[in-house]
Amino acid sequence: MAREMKGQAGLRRVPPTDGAADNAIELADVRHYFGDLLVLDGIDLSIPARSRVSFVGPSGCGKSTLLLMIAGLLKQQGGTITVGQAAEQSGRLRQCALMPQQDLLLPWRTALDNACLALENRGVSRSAARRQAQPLFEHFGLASFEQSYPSQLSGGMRQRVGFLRTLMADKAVFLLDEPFGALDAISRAAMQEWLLSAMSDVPKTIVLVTHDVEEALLLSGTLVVFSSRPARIVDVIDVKLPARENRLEAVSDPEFVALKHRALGAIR
Amino acid sequence: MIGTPATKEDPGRAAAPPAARRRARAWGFGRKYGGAVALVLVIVVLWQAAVHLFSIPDYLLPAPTEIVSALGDWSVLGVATWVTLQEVIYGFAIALVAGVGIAVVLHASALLRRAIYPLLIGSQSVPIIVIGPILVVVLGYNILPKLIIVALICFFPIVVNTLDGLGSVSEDYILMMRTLDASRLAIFRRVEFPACLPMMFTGIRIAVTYAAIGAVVGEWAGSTNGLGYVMLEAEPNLQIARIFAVIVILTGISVVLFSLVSIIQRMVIPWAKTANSRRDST
Repeated sequence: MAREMKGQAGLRRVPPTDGAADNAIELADVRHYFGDLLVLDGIDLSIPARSRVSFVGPSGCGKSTLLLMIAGLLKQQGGTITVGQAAEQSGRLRQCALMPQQDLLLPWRTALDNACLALENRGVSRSAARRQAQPLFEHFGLASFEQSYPSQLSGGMRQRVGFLRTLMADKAVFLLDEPFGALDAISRAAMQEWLLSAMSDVPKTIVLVTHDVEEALLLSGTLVVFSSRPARIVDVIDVKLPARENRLEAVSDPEFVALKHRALGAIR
Repeated sequence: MIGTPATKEDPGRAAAPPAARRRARAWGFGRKYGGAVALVLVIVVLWQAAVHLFSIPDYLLPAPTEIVSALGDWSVLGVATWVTLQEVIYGFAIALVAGVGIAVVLHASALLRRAIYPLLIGSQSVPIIVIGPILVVVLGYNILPKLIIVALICFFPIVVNTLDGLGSVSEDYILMMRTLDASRLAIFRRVEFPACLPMMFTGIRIAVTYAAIGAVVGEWAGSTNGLGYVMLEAEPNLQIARIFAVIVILTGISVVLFSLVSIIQRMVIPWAKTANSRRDST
């Protein structure tokens, strides 16, 4: 089935949202090896601007590697990657912000000063950066924790500060690499709901890497399903689910369950 | 614990009246250093008893009471302590600046690291005691050779620990900073340098205990004053109690400097728990 789709469309197109025409990310025949080991086997994909896309696939299939390449932090060995107009690594790096699995907050900086990092790196003074970041803390459920150090925050709060820090970089493309992978199941569920609302007012292209199909269905409009290594795209699933009051209703919706089965079947 | 709201600090502790807090602090101090103080007291008592019991002559092993009365001769020891203390502090300051500087340069350039690091390690097998007299011949009977010897002894642990600390930052932090538009300098300033501070302080604490030895070695090589000079003078006169008094002062200098560095460390990097504070809190 995967072969057929490729034959028809050439590039796999993720359906555009809100009629946005310009593509934020274009992957053409991207290949990569670790030594002799083929990890990415000819990835073709177009991601329209302002869409929410999830890369799902088994752990270790190479989807995080692909994310590093899109961000311009790693050079692919074959094919082309274009972000916006930029095909070279440094240009991609300028347009992408990456939120890693570990929060990677700096333990010697307060939550507020961690959120200020991108602005300070661009030469904004610390006090000006603080004035810009401060108002966002309340919005992200972090009010009154501005002066707390990361060691004083819970895992979920640290990830929220990490998200805020990534957001302050103000990039066109947001890459989230298993952002909740290090959290326990309960705070993970809470963080997924939080991220869903947080993303709704972020007009950016968001790519989420996860091995959790449920998380991908809850958080994104499109699922790109990868096979195990060497990674190929085996399915692209357009998620059109009615809005639900809460997570429990959403995940027990028969359509949701059907899509989940489809994705899991494609991975296997 | 169920139902207890999570707070950053135990409110009970924060609300304790000052007197109770002072008592708690004194008790904490006693628990922390009580063992060491008791051990020293036991050794001193046994020493005193042994000297009297076996009538050991003063010129072999003076009794602790003799050493205390030798310490009272402050007209000689006070000036000598001041001279040595200056050598220790200035020499250590040179070692600190040079050590951190060298570590930063070696961290920045792989080429220099490969070229210079083996030489630095090799330099540590050169006996300083041999270099001392040469330095005195070249530079004279002034403070300079002492400063150089103190610095030579102290800089190495600072370089090694700082360099290791700078290199200890996980690649993930560097990648994260790069997606946040950080230049090489920004990564150094905001990630690598702060991250190296705990290890740098470990190196500084090791180095500071060597500084007093360095000053004495420098004075032995050639001097007209200082604690090392007092020792050299006392030996042929069999003023063994005075030698021990000098040892007590040198130990005191080392302990005070070590504690000072530890206090500064806690002030500069409150976010980093040292191995000791972790051990104490459990």
